[in-house]
Amino acid sequence: MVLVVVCLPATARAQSWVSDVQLGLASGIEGADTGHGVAWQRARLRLIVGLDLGNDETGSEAYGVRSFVELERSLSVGAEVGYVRWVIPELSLFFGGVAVLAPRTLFGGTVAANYVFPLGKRLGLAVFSSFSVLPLGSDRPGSGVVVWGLLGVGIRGRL
Amino acid sequence: MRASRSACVFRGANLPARAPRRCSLLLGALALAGCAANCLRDSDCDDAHVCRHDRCELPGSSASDSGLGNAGEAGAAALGPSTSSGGAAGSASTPNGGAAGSASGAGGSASGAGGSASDAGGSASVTDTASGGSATGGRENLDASGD
Repeated sequence: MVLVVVCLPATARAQSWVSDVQLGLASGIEGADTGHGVAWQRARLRLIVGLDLGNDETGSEAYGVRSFVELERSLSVGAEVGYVRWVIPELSLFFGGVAVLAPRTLFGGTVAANYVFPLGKRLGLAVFSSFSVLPLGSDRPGSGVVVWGLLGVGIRGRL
Repeated sequence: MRASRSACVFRGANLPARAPRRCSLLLGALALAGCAANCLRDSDCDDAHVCRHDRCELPGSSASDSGLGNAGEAGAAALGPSTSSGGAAGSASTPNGGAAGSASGAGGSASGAGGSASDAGGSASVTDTASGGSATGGRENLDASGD
């Protein structure tokens, strides 16, 4: 009996998932080559909902998904999927792909930085910026590349 | 239809070649503030238009027949058929503040019914009925004013 007890495998420490949810608003500048040179305008205000999912064994890494809705002019819906790396507990970087999916399409890459001011144990005020280049899709002016530089604020919570 | 503004784009290449970087940034900021693009993406326009050369245009159309700020051209084109014989009169009007053209013709012993053209989104229509006689065509007397 003692042998059985001794030889029983110990309960492995469970790998727990860490998930952060973030809700924010962002805008900035949007540029593209219109055929008459590079033109700029204010980027459409967008509502962003993000989820970063990682595990505590690779504590400084996660995978992130963000979906966004552009609220101005015509409503459009898009998403970002990528890799998240925390530089310090408050600051994370996001590298991934970005796409506007409807009603017209844009595809490209994005880099973002996210800084969180803690407001408690599980809540924080997030300030973020991103830079995106979108060379593909049907929503470009001619064959130009659309560029976004965005700034945003939001609320971040840990589930 | 989105209102058209004059093409107002920021071209980095137009900055003074030897301008200090700070000056370039300032010019860029001013250009961004005062010269925002009319459209950058097709979805900046309504469903019937696409963004080309900083303007919303009908798909497949060139800038000259886009219907934005080209009302005068549309009006003139519509007045073309009124050069038929007989008294002809045509008028064109535009809600976009573009050129308005008017034409009048008189001649012969016939009476002609006027034609009218309207411009909406680049399409023009004309109703022109004329009968008999010889007259100076409406187009030759076209007196267009405006942009």
